[in-house]
Amino acid sequence: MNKWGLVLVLLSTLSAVKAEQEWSEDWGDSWQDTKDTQLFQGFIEYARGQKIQPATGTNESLNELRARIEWQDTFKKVKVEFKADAYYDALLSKSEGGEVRELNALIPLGEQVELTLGRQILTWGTGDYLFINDLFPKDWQSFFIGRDDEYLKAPSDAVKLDIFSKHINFNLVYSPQFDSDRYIDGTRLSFYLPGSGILQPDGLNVQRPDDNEVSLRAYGKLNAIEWAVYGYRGFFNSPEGINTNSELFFPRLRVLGASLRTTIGAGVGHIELGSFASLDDTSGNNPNIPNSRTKLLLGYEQELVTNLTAGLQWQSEKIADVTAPTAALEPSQQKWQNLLTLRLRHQALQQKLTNNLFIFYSPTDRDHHLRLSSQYRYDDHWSFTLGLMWFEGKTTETFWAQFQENNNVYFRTRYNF
Amino acid sequence: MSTRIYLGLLTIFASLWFTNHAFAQTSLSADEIVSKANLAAYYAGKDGRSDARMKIVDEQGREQFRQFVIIRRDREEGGEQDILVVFSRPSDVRNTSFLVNKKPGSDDDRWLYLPGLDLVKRIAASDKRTSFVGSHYYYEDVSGRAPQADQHELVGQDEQYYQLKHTPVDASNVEFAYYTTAIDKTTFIPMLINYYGASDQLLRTVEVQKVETIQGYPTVLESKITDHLRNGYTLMQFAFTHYDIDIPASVFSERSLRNPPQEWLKRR
Repeated sequence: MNKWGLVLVLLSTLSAVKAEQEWSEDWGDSWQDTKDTQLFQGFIEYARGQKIQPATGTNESLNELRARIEWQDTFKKVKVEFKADAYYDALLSKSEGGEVRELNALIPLGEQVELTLGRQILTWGTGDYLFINDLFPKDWQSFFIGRDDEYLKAPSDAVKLDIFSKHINFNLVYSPQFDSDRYIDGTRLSFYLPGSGILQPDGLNVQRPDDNEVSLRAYGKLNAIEWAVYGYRGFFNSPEGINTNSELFFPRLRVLGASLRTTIGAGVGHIELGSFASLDDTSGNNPNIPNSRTKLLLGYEQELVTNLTAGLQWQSEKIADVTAPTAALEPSQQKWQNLLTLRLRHQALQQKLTNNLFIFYSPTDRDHHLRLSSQYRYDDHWSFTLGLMWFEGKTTETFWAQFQENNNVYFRTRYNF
Repeated sequence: MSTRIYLGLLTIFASLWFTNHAFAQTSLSADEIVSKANLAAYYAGKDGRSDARMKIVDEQGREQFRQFVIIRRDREEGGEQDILVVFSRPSDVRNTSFLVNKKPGSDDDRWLYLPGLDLVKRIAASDKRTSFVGSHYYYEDVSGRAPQADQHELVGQDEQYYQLKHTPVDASNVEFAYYTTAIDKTTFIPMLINYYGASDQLLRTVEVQKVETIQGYPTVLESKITDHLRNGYTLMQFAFTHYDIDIPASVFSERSLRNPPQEWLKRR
C-alpha cells in the first residue's frame, strides 16, 4: 500500500476507535458537537464480486478493500470539504491506490452568491438512474459491478457559481478540463465492439479532448412545482465517436433542456426534456459520430403499501437524421429508442433491511438490465450488502445486451466510523 | 389554556397529543379545544431551533443513535410551516437533511438530500406510518397527525390528568384501532399515550419524561416510545432549544439542503 493510503487507513482506524468510545459514553449528559469528539468520519469496506459463468472476459468483477476518510470544517464562513479513498484492488495491475473524491472550498460572496472551488460531486435533474440534463461524470463501471450508489457519481474538478434569489436561482459550473464518464473500457467488464462482437479488450485507444465544459441551470419553485432549465456545452460523456486515426474520441455536444417535478396524488411525478446537438456532426452524415437527438423522460413514484415504494419511468429518445446504421460505438441505431424502468424499494426490520429491485427494459431493443440488492444495517457501524446484476437481450449489440457476459453477484461489508 | 410547546420534532413528538387531545376546558366544544390545542402546540413562537437526539434500542438490546438539529418557521399562525432537519450522526447519515413544508389539510411537501450523491430527492407524502430514520417514531409522529383524523372522547379525569380516547375516522390506513392519552391539566402536555390494536392489545406507548419551560413555553425535553410488539424502544431528547430567533423564509430551500445554514443551526 502506498504511503498515503497507509496514512488514511491509520487515521480511519484511530478515528474508529475514538468514535467507539465517544458513542458509548455519549448518551449521558454531554451534548458534544461531532466536530469536537471526532475529527474524521468514514468507513472501511471490503467488496467482492463474481461474474456468473462468463464466456469471455475475466471471472471476477470486484475484489477490493477500501478506506474512506471524510473531514469538513468551516474557517471564517468558508466551508472546506474533504473525502478521500485509499484502496487495495486485487483486480488492477497496480493494486494500491487512492482517490480524492472531494476537496473543495465553498466561499460565500455576500448573502446571495456562493462559489465552490475544487473537486466536487455534482448532481441535478429529476431521473432515477436516468440522466438527461445531468452531464456530470458518472462511473458506469462502479455502477455495474455493485459498488455503493455513491460511486455512480464521479467527481468534477470545477468552479461552481451559485446565485440565489427569491424566485429564480442559478448554478454555473465550469470545468477547465472536460471530465468524462468512467465508461466501460474492458478493465473489468466486457462489451460489444462493432465488427468484433462481445470482447473485454485490454484497454481502448481513446483520444481525450483538451478543452473545458460548462453546465448551467436556472431553477425555482412555483407553489409545489419545481422547475428547471438546463444548458450544457462540452462533449459526449463517453468516447462515442471514431476519428480518422481509428481512435475513439469524445464528440462535441451541446444540450438544452428543462424539467418539472411535483407531487401528483399520493406520489411524486417528474418530466424532463433534453435536446442533444452533436456539434461535430450536425447533419448526421458522419456514421462515426453519434447523431443529434431529443430525449424525454416521464416518471412517477409512490408508496404502494407501508414500507414498499414503486417507481416507474419511461424515456423516449428520438435520434435525428437516421438513415443507415452507423459504425460508431453506439451498438444499435434506430430512430426511436424507448426505455422503461421500474424500481421497487422495500424496507423491513425497523429499516435495518432495505431491498431494492431496479429494472431497465428497452422495448425497442428488447433487452434489459436487472439490479437486485439487499442491504442489512446491523447497527450504526456495520452494514452488509448482497446484490445481483443481470444483463440480457435478444442479440449481442444492443445497449444492455452487450453486457450479458458480465452478469454478476457481489457482496460488501462496511464498517462506518 | 396556554399549552405551549416548542417546535418541530418537539412538537412533533409531543404533537399527537396536543393536537388531538387537549380537552382542557369542558365548557368548550371538542373542536374548539382541539383547534386551540393545535395552535398552542404547533405554533409556539414564530420559529425556533433545537438539537435533538435519539437512542434506538432493538429487541436484542442493540443500540443505535441519531443526532440532528431541527429548525422550524411558521408561515402563518395555524397554517403552513417549514421544517429543516440536518443530521450529524451517525457517520453514514451525516449531512443528510430533510426539508418539509407542512401543509395542514393537504399532503406535506418533503425533500431528502443525500450528500454522497449530491442528490435532492423529493419524497412522496403518503408513507406516513413508517419509521422515522429507523426509530420507533413514525413520520406521522414527526409531521403531526391531523386532529380531524380521529374522533376524540373525554373518558375520565383526576386532579392531574385528563384521560382521553381517540378513534381513527378511517381505520384502514393506520395500524392501531384506537389510542388513549393522559394530558397534564397544568401544562396541557400529554404525558402518556397508548396505542391499541383491534383486540385491545397494547401496540405502542409514548411517555414524556421531562418537561421544562423555555422562554415561557412548556417544552418536552425527553420522551420514550416503546414498541410492545417488537420489544424495542426509542429515547428522544431535545436540548439547546431557542424560540423566536427570526429565521428568514428563504432558509427553507434547496440551497439549505445542500449547504446547511450554519447561522441558524448553530447553538445560541
